[in-house]
Amino acid sequence: MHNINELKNEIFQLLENATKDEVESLKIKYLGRKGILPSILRGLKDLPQEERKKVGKEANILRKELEDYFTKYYKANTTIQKSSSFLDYSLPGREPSIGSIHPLSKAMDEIIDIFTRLGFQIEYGPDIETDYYNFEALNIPKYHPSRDMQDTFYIENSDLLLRTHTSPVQIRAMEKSKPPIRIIVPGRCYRKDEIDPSHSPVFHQIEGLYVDKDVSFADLNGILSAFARDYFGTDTKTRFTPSYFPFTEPSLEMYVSCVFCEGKGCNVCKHTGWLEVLGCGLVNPKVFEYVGYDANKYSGFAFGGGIERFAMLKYGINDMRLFFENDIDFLKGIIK
Amino acid sequence: MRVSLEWLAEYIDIKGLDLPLILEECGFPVESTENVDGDTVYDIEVTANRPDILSMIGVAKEIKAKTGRNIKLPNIYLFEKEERIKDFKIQIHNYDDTPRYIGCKIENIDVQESPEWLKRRIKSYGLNPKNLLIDLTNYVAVETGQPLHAFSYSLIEGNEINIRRAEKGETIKILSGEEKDLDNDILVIADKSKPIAIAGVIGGEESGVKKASNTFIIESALFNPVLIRKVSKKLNIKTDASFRFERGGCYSMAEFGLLRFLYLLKKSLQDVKIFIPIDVKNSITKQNIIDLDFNFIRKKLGTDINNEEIISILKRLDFIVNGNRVIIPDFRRDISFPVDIIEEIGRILGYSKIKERIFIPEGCYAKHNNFYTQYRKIRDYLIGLGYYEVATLGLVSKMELDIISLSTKDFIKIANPINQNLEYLTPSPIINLMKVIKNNVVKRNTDLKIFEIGKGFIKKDNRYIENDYLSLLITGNDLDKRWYNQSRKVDIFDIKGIMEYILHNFGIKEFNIIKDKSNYFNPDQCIAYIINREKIVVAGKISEDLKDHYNLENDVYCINIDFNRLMNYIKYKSYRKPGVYPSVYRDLALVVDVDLKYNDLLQIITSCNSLPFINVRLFDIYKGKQIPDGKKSMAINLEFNGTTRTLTDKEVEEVIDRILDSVKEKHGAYLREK
Repeated sequence: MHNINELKNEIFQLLENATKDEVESLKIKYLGRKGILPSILRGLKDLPQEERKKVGKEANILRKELEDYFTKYYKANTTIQKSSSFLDYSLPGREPSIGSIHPLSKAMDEIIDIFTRLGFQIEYGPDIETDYYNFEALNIPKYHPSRDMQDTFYIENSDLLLRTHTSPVQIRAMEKSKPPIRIIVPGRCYRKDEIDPSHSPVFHQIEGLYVDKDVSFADLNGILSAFARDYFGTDTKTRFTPSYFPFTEPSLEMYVSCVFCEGKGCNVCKHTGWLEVLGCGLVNPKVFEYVGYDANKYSGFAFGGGIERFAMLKYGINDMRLFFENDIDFLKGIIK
Repeated sequence: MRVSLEWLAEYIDIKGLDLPLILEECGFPVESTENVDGDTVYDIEVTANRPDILSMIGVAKEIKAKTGRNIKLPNIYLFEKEERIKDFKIQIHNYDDTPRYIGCKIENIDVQESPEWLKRRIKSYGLNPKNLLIDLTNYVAVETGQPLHAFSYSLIEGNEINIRRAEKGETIKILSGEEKDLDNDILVIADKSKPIAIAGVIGGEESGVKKASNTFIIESALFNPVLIRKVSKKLNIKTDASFRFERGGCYSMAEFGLLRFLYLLKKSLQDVKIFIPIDVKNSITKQNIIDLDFNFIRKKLGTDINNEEIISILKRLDFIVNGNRVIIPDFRRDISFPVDIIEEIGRILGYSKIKERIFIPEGCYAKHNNFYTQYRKIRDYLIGLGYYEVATLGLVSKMELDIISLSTKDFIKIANPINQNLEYLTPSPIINLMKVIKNNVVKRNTDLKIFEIGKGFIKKDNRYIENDYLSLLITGNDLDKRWYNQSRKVDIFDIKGIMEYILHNFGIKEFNIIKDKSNYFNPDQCIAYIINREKIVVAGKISEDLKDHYNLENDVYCINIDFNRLMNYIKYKSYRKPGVYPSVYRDLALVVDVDLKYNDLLQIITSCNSLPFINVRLFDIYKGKQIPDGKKSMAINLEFNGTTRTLTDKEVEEVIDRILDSVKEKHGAYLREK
């Protein structure tokens, strides 16, 4: 028979006058694994049922009271210690180990996100292409002078080449499905250019194509201007000037108001206030003939731009080579 | 095209015009501006479809169309009572190659220096003045777009000019003095016995303008653009003439150009004797006529421009509007379809006058693209784990491929590479990532975690295969040196940890790891992940050969994932309600043979378990003091859970006993004494 009340008085009396070390040993004596209270609780099963209930209840209450006491005791004591300690809050914080997205991917993601919000679906195509998809079906016959604009790498011992633009995917996509078609094509392209601050033999493009009934220049203007405002900033203005690509007619270059000087004129925009960012135009009906679309029924627009240029303009990068050198200090980026 | 403003002003009043803007809106942006002896010269970009703009008159005509100002065409020579040439023959062998050839004999030419005004113009175009005759032909080429060529009359054997294909075995010494072999693909201007010029490309040295000559034949011709381009490519000769001819000449300009030349010649040399030209031409020339559909124009442009305005623009472009038909002038060979008219209206009207429209049609719902979604997901995981995404060119050298393979026959070679370093398409991003590591190590960034999702290319049974890979490389220390860090060198278990994290995040639970072999990896530390009997991942320590090639001191560890195949196994994870019943934990320190694989131990433990949930964590491996030689201690923490109930000590002890019996029986393992 245990008298829990007696035990309780005894403990609290001892605790009242105890030093810090004594408190610790009392805690072990009464609450430790082989301590008095746990032993009582373990021994309950040997008691008669009536007594078991009573003692069990009282012992559990006491245990809880003691646990609370010790918690409070330690809390009070440690707090005193902490307030007297010195915290050098100027020590550098523990740096989380975080990598970084390559700036080209970052630009690509942003651009893809904008166009997918506008209902354009992502399509991919191969890097190794045939002359047919890269040139012929895009209305660029052999010995056409515009092939000079795109000096091509050819694959040895074959009639294949490395695509010079993402436009072959336009043809592949149109061969695969009927209008309406609304796609964007991100991808790698190759041209025989020496590596310099504004050229690279390997670079990235994003291509877009929308074909439906009654697609007009106004649609091209709407979609691409919305894109420009979303990518470069809401105040961005756009301007279209004639250009020439065999697979679009009319062909245009899109300019945006200079993101560096807001159109006032600076070195980047060569003091014109405008930056050329992409080529575009209404799909040439001859291209529709190649893929078997009815040119009388459908019209469309297409566009293509270099991701390197978009990234350079947005992140203030002035040398294309930096993208492919992958210096970690470059990839980390800076806050201006 | 270099455009001198002083020269341009001879044809159109350009005062008060914002010329760069006008030219740009027409489609010919000014690339650069230069001052040549007080004259402003623009270098304008001319698209390949507009050879007419490669002339001062062409540029003036564009400005006229855009501004409505008048244009003044230059004076030309008018024939009165000139003589016909006797005893001279011009023959075109094939009108497809040469639609028109005009030859004009001129006599009493004193080959002298050009007057100052002419020199000034020639210089403004960026050429060096030579002599009156050559400078005048160049002047006319720039003014009208029509290239001319002068042959010394006395050097034309047999008094005849034949425009024919060359024969195999024929040769010609061109103006630069170089001897060129000719063949049937090449169109030549020939006299009775031999070629004297490569048609539309370059003249022969022998027949050119010589001081001693005083009689010449001036050629003004039209050649097949595709043919000229082929010849120029084949012989690798590019000249101002070939540049113009391969873009297409103009039928009427061949005559106009010659007459302009004769006018200027007569003005400079009063005594010159001009004969009536011999004009050989294909009389069937097609006039381009296009139906004019006003609604079509409005619909394609998306604007409500009225009929009068459309007609007015077409007239300013020298197009003849005849009811519902437009007759295209012959200097605009680029206009042949109704859509071409749209471009003309658009650019002369100004695209900025057309409003924006955003319309997302039904049926254009953009479905997600699985590759992009998964690429972006894994990329973001890796960034969060401290990895840097890199972008490489994907082209490699033969030397680099030799390190990983005995032969290059499976690799794809570029026939015309820029240089030997960029000669092959890479079979996986690993090689280029090694280069990235090297470039950074050189700059003393030695602790690196990088990855790229890029293509690998190989040739297999004459098929060209491109595949997407995720290649990930680490080297150096696992953590930066900081006041709070204890860093260590990375090893294969860093790679394993990342790989299993990736698989876990992609919801892939079932996979095996086997020892593997690969030319990229050190044979002692190379493993592969097998999913559904397919080898999806190879990982391990980069081979010494590769490491040495890039002069790297630290080991490099690598994962190469066949991303296309991995995508087939990606699943969404599902989630479950966490248990409410407490887990029971037990620690076991087992002494086993040093060569016992953890996985063997793990398999026994899991097979002995009969409880609803078990989780095994290896928390220590110890060799040395207190452990006999040839043995090691593996300390394991076991977590058991009843899922729907609290476990009793007894059930847990039963499982532990079974485990201990089983590891003892199979591997002679025993509990380490405390």
